[in-house]
Amino acid sequence: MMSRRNLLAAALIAPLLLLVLVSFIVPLGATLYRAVDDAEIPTILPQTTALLKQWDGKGLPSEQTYQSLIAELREAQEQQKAGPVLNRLNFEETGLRSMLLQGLRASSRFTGSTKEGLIALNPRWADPHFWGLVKRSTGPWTPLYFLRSVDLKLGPDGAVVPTAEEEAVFVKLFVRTFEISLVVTLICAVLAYPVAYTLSILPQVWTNIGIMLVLIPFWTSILVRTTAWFIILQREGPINALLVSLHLVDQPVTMIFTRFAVYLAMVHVLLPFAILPLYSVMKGIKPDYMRAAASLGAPGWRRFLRIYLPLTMPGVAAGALMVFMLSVGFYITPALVGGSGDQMISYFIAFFTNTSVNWGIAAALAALLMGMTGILVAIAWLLVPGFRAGGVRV
Amino acid sequence: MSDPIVVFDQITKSYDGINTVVHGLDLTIERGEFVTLLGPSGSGKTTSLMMLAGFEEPTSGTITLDGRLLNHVPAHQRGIGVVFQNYALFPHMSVAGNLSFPLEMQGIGRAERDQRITAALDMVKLGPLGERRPSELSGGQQQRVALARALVFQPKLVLMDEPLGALDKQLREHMQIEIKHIHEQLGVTVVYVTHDQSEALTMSDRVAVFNQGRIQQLASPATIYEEPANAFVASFIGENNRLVGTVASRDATYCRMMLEDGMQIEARLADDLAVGAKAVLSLRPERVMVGASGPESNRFEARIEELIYFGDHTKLRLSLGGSSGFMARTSFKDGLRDLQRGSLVMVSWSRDCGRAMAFSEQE
Repeated sequence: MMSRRNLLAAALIAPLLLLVLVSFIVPLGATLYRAVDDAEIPTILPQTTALLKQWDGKGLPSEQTYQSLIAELREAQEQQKAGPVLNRLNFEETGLRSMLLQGLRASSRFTGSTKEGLIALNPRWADPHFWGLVKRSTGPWTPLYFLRSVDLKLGPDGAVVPTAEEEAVFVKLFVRTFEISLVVTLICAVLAYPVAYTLSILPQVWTNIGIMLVLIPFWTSILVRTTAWFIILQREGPINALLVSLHLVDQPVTMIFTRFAVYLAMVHVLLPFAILPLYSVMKGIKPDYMRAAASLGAPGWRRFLRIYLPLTMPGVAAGALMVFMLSVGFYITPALVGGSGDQMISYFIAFFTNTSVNWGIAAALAALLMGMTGILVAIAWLLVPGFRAGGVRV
Repeated sequence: MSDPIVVFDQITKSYDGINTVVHGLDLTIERGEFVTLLGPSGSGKTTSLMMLAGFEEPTSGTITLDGRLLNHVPAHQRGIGVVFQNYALFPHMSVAGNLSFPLEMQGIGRAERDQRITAALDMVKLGPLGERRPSELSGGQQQRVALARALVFQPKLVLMDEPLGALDKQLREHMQIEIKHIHEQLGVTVVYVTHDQSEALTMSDRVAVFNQGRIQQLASPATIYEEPANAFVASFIGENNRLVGTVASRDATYCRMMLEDGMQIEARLADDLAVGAKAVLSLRPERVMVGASGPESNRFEARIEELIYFGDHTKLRLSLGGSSGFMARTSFKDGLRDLQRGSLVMVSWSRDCGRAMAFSEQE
């Protein structure tokens, strides 16, 4: 009897479980795998990989290794498979791509030793450091993408060192992403609180109208809303037209492609996510709590600080968490209304995925973003009392 | 002798300007008294309490507390303790934190706060539970915390809004006695709202019976029960038999009532009824004697329609005087174990127990 019910329950949950597995756990795993996977060179240059494994790293590899590298690269190029290898090595050190292509073109004219021919062509071929890089890239795993995501790399001796200043962009990007997200979260919480409170005490008819006013933009596509801001904030847009015609400003104010525009549009898009959980928590707080506090001698502001605010903290926390999580992944809004200094990490993940096709770094950035967000949420969970709603029954 | 603490003077309350919830209420509560506002839901008793607490404003009339006009004094400046029906304990504070709250609002220092919290918890027999959260306590314990919180800041007046409504019967009866003892011990004035008549009778010095926004009777529990002022009070408090007839004759104290089927009953006059006036006889089931013995004045034969067994007593539903809903209550000491449905039995009652009241159409 019991087991049949359990089976039925399992059968009912199974589709959901499958969906979670297929749409969440598998892609997540694949992303993490991508971020550390280093299979290009072992797959496309198997013989060179094997030879380099035998190389002790002292002096230069054998003539056979040089020949093998050129031969396997040529074969890969004929099959149009050389791109990933060249990208991979060029990511290790800029300039390697052109050096390899140059060597490949010249090698058909070599009569004697391939090794000597290549060295004659470009002295870097005689640099053990170059071969060290190739050997380091023969997999199967690499910390390179994760290191690069926090502006670090492996030095010639294998030690972790900071990347060159002009390449060190990612830490700044993470800081910017979390900064924008925190500011947006804060603004949303401050704006949502009075709105949700008002909705929770209005007569039912007005509450319904108010909720509709919150939900209608909520149901409108983010793209549409962002585009609307794009138009409104233009230098020749309606706001500037109004400001100039009222003689409040002499020159149109630059609003589009600024941080201000990013905050404005993101808060507009995300505000309902803060209002709705707060409203539902506030709606559930019985007026008796506030009456009790009054009868016990607490004036209005102390009732708010000591009773109402703590009781609504779970709503604030839920709303803030939602807004923060969504902000961290924001992409289209900063891309449309922000300047180059306002782009968030998702923009670069998209760039590495679609444009420069470096899935390793895209995956590492995505995984780091997820990890850091998780840590921040865990810290908030520990520090903000309302997060652990366990003790609060409202 | 008279030392009023609360005076309601012509208080009227309407929420929407159309329906009046409380009509011209006059009520004076003496210092140290335990007064219960009793009535069905919607009778205005809770609204009256809320106006006294400061959560509602009267539409007209005045309320004074210790001679001070309360109408425009906000709730937090009234110094009145309130026990709520659902306790309204602050869920994010410990029990001690809840008790500390009113003391902090009064600016009382830590040492004295701790002392008074301990004393209050001991008073409600919750000494060791100060650090618990309200959600970790049983309903009865939460009720005690609510009581302690309403008393810990030593208010002159405590209001209780159906404070025992959520408890089971046994616990409720136990808490009734306990609240009564605390009241006697502290000498604090209590205004208590309930719709449970037995609670009102058990606990109060005086009971105000509310109906349709008006006080129907304000008197001691015994007077309310034994001498209900009108048919509403008679039927609302305890069980009651009602027989309708006309006054056939009367003297200064008693009358003879003629029922429609010709039955004649002697009864004490509760109202000043003229001969020929329509009247209602009000008679408690426990005043009816079942069996051959009993007074001669009102002695009738009745048919048993139903026997309802209660353990310590049995109720009989009888056909009498054209009604098949006449209730009598009998205990087994009367030696009537062999009563059966459908059999005939003699019932009688003293003419002092039946009260003849004016008939009113609205009932």
